[in-house]
Amino acid sequence: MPDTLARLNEVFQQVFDDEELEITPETSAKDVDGWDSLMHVTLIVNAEKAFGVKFSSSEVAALKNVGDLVHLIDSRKHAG
Amino acid sequence: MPFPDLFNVQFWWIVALAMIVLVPLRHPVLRRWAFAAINLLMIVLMLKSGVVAVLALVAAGWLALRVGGGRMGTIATTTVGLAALGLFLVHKRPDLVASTGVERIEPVLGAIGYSYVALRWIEMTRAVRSGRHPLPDPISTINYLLPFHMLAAGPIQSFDEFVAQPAVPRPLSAAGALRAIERIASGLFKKYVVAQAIQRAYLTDFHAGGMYTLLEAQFTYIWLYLDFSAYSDIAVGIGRLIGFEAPENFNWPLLARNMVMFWERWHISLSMFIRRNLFIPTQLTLTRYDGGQHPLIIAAVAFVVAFVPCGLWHRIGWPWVAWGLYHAAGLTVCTAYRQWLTRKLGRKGVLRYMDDPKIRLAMTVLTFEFAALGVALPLFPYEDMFPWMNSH
Repeated sequence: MPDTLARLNEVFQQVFDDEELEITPETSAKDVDGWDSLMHVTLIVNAEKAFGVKFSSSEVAALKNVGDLVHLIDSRKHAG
Repeated sequence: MPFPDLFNVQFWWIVALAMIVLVPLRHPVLRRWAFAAINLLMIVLMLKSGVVAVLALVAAGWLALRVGGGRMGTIATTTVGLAALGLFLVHKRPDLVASTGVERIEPVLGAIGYSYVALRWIEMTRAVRSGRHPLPDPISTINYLLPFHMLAAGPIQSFDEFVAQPAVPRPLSAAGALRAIERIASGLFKKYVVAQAIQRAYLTDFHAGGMYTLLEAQFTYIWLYLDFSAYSDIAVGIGRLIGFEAPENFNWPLLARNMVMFWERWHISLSMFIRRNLFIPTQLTLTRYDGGQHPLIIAAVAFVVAFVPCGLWHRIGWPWVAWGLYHAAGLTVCTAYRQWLTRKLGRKGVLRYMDDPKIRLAMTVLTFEFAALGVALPLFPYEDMFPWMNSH
């Protein structure tokens, strides 16, 4: 999980164009400026590319915070 | 107006019964059964023998999922989905099937708030078919699809949220009960005092015409907010009392500063349903296909895919298609403006710009006016102006 979170942090910094952005498992859309419904999917597609995984739209819609996304990425990597 | 009026004496007797039975009941299985019995009793009181038709509807939806995955499961779900869509057409446009006999089912659909039941069934189907949750038993299915306090005008609880609710809620404290009763009283005051006063004093169903149309659009927007959010207040209050909570549905939408924010605050449960089931799937598919090269075009397409069906969900007809396109256009312009500002000012510059009190005020007024015209758009008496349209 720490590796996934660190790599995901780079994805967040790239997508939101903010090198100072630091995410935690508790970080949610209300904590990051610009993380609206539009950017949510851009973020997910970039995360998919970075980790070489793919999510269903139901999984994407059900994500509540960064911790959920990290958990989803880890479970998908272990399954693959 | 679009909501079935359940707020009669019988409804409040059911609320009292639900409190007497459910508040002291601490056994999880008995609570579920008792809630299902109360939900069905409400329908029996409303529809008498029509309850059989409602149970057949729920049974068909449950059995389609009971078939399981694979080809047979897909066939069963698709068949029931198409039948549900047919019923939706009957519900929203009984005039289209008038004199066929089928239209006689419309009062049954209207009484249970079929628009909302159908969306809950879609939620449940997607959750079960995607493997996120196992198939609920018939008792839980009744409780999810037909909660008596959410029949009139929602909210549309997500299936994830329904499943996540504790089987036995925390005991109801005196302070909690008082807050819930205050919420119900606030809803009743909004609906039966403030909204009714506005309706009687200012609304003419846009028959007054002339410049008054613009003023009436403002009052209609405020009236709709008060009336509709009142139903949600009452559902939320009752849900807290009986321990089967209804989700929040409004969060000061009249003060939204842009249309994205508006849809995060207005009829929240419907906009979240649209986001989960239409907007995200469309945007995800197109972004993967396009490689993220044209996010604005993709967003515009996803807004149309999301909001035109949303318009038709309210009522089937061209004014509601126009309503969907109007909101898709508003959201696209809002998104494009934000992107333009970000390019021009940088991300932190945009935040400073948005915090400027004059800009905030201007954006709030602009959003209010856009939303008010959006409310008025499908309600204009087009038949008076263009008799050939006849609202079709």
